[in-house]
Parts: sequence; structure tokens; C-alpha cells
Amino acid sequence: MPPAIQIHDVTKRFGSFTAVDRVDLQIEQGEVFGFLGHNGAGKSTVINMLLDHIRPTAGDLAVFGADCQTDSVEARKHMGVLPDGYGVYSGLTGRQHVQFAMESKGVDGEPLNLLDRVGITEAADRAAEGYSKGMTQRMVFAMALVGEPDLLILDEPTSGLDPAGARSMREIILEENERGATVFFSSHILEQIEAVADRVGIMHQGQLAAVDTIGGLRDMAGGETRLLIATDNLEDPHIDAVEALDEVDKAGITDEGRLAVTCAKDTKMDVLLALDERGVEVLDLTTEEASLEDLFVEYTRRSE
Amino acid sequence: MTGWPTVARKDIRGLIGSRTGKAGIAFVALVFVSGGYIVPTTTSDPTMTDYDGFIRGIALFLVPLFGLLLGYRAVVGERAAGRLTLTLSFPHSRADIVFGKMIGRGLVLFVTITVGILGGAALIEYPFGRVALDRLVSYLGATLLLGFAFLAVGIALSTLTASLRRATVFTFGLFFLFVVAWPQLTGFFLQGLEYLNLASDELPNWAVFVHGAEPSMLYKRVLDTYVSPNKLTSGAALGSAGPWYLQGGPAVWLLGCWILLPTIGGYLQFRRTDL
Repeated sequence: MPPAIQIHDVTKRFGSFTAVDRVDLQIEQGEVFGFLGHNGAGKSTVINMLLDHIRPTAGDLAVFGADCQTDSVEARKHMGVLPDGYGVYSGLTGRQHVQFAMESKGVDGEPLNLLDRVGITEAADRAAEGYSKGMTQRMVFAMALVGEPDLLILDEPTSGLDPAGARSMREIILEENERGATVFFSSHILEQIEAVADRVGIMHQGQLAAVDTIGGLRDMAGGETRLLIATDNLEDPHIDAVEALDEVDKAGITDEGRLAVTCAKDTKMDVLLALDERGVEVLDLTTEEASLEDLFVEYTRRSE
Repeated sequence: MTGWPTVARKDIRGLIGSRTGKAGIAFVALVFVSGGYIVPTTTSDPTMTDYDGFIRGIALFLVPLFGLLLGYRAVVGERAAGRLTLTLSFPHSRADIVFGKMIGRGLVLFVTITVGILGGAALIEYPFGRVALDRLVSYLGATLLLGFAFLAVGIALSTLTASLRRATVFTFGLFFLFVVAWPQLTGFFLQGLEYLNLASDELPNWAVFVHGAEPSMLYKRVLDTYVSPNKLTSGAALGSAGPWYLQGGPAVWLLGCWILLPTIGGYLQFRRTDL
């Protein structure tokens, strides 16, 4: 079984500017992969090379074993794409756009079903040039879904969508993944990637700074957890005892009168046991994990 | 190359769907029809030769302009607006784009000019005139070739640049050079060649050939051979007395080259560029 996407040592230079710098990446079939990075980090350049819209300066890319440059039509037969910076066809309605996608993929079907799925049924017979940004995005998403593609490539899919639209798109992405599709999508918004991705790649200044599961990234970036504990007893000796434990960074009292402990993820229980041994009753416990945002900032800072 | 019919179909739908597209198509067809309406009012027993004589001056501007306008935005317009990004996200090759557009727009040009000329010919024939079938077919064929040649040149120009404005400048520059200025340059060529001692008093045949290899000049030569053989005085044509390469037959082939070579050149250029 060939990987869904295989990117091997790919570099793209525009003149003296290096947009993508020696990127290696492999995505297995069935994964949902989130491609994270600031605008201009090189995400779209990588995607455009998968589509053969631009050609790599060095290295090669393949989709389901088909080389994206020498065999690009075959590669694109596997894909459903929501590209970045597209324009719609003048003079064609939403229905005709989906029809064009069906003809292009050589599949039969009723365009309305797909327009229905993305929620723009009522606009099907209007010229797509008159659509709002969000409706256009939904229409092109419907075009990407044509023919149950093996691989969905979505470049900033939720841009222009309102929160409800973004949520329903996430739901469709998960449905498609359930059906067996591999999903590769880019975003500069962390929550969206966190919500659906199995693995995340962070692009920064043309380089792939990190690739891991979200959990793995957390561990790598320190993996620290903050415990907020409500107790019946907040005397200093107890706090000092907790702070003295291995793998506890610091312990203190918050403004709300809780015990705050920053520690490694798997020392949570040790903290609670220590309190219990000292006869301190734990009334309530909440944990805060480092957000992906923190990780992202951490990573991009580190690779500078 | 299997996606070109889809590209061609979408292209035709788009052209017919837009208001300016419809208006332009109707205008061109109407000009050819109206020629057939006007000629019989001034000529008794009109023929295709009279029709050609009346409408040639207009056709020489209108058909190249129509071909160029159909072609010059074909690739660059879609590219600048991001529509190519969308089209090429589907399993179409670059060849599908160039040839699909050539064929789609070629079909629009074919139908427009054919309908216009057949309409004009019908008005010549009825009630008093006489349209010889061979002259009609020659006239229609030559005019279509001229249109296709400029369509091909327009599409080739539109693959050269990613900027719509630059493509527009190229196109109108080329229209001016080929259609407006070039046929008037006989005198300059003669002076130049005389200065180089390559000619005296009139252009040598090879120079006539080179000067006459521009599509609208070729079109005149084809018409002078097959539709209006009594008009043998115009620039590039020397009539049956001239050498073989200045006859109408080779001119037809040369027009064919003007269709083929720009299309292929445009494709090769487009194939190797980043979008």
C-alpha cells in the first residue's frame, strides 16, 4: 500500500527566495493530517507542488504512488481539492460548477446532492460569481467531494466561513475520513487542526519544523500540565511538600485561593497522593494542558 | 489528453453565458448577414464575388479582431483570476487546457462565421442573385481559416504572460502590426531592398512571398484565387502568371501553419511555467 502522500527532500526557490526548504513528509492512507503554519510559511507552495501548479526546484512528490510532476493527471485523479486563491468560472451557476467537476472526474451523479451536503441548495441555479465568499468556499468544497476521492487536499478550507459553516465543514471532513479518505488540510488556525487532525506538521519559514500527533507535540514541548486543586487546607508546609516532589516545577496559591501545581503530565497522581498522605482533602480538581497555541509559538521561536 | 472535451464544453458554456460574449457573437454574425442584405440593393444579379467585394474590407478587420478577442484572454484571463487553479485541480493536463480552449473557442468562431456567411449568402441568392456552391464553400473556408489563425495567435499570446494587462497590450499591438500596418508596408520594403541592392522598381517574388505570409494577406490571396479571380491587382497576389508559391493553394497551407504553429508554441510555453 503506497502512502497517500510522499514528499521527498523537496525544495522550491523563487529567484533567491527559498519558499520551501528540504521538506520530507510521508502521510499514510486514512490519516487526517493538519498542516499548520503562518501565512507565507510555505504551506500553499507545498500543496501547489502536489497539484503540479508549480514545479519543485529539487526533490519529488508522489500521491498514491503517482509522481506529482511526471504523472500529475494520474496523481490528481486520486484527489479532491479545495485550492487556495482560486476564482470561479464566469457565466456558470453553482450546479454547472459541480457538473464540470463531475465531467472532469468522469463520474455521474446529481450535482444537487453535493450542493445539498454543503448547504447551498437554494443557490444552485444562480451564477456563482454572485456568491458570497463563504458560499463560494462551500461550492468549491462540494466540487472537491465529487467522486469520493481517496485524498482530500484542502488549503485553508474554513477561510471565509462563519463558525457554523466551519463546524459543518469539519463534520464533513470527519465523515469523509470515516469513509476511508485521507485528508490533508492546511490552516493557520490551531483549534481547527486540533479538532480533526490525527497528526500535525508545523511549517515555519519554508521548513517543516515538527511532525507529530497533537499529544506527542505536547510531550515534546515540555508536556507540562497545570493542576488547579481546591482543598480544605492551604498551609505553607503542605505546599512546600508538594513542591519538593520530583517532576513538580512549582506550586503556589492562586488569586481564587486554589492550589496551583505545574508538573509533568504523569505526576498528577503523585501530587494527589502526597496531599492525601498529609491529610489534606481534595475537594475539586481541574487540569489545564498547554494549548497548541503555546506549542506553536514555542516551535516557531525555537527554529528561528 | 482526455479532458479537453470537458474543458471545451465548459469554455463554450462560459462564453455563451456571459452577456458580452453573446453580444460579440451576435454582432459578428449580423455583419456578415447584413452584407447579404445590402449587396443586392446596389447590384443586379449579385454573386459571391460581389459579396466578397463589398464585405472584404470589413471582414479583414472584423475576423482577425474577433479571433484575437476570443483567444487572448483564454489562458491569461483564467490564470489571473485563479480559474486555472481550479481547473487544474482536476485531472486535466496543461495540453487539455490549451487544446480544449482552442477547440471550444474555435467552435464558437466556426458557428458564428458559418451562420453569418450562410445567412448572407441566402440573402444574395434570394430572390435575384446566384450563389455558386464552390465559391461559397471557398469563401466560407478561407474566412474560417483566417479566424482560426488569429484565434491561435491570440491563445498563444495569452500563454506568454501571467498579467492580463500585458496580454492586452501584446494583442492590440499585434493586431495593429499585422492587420493595420503590415499590408501598408510594401513601399518601405521596396525602399529597404533597393537600398541593399536587392530590388529595383518592384519587389522580387521572394519578398512578395515574405511580405504576403501574414495571415490577412494570405486571406486576400486565397480569395483572389478562389472567390474573386477577376481581382488580381491586390498586393500579394500576382495571379496565375506568378510563381507557384504565390498562388492560392500554398496560401491555404500557410494559413494552416498559422493555426498549428502558434497553438503548439503556446502549449509548449504553457507546459513549462508555474501557474
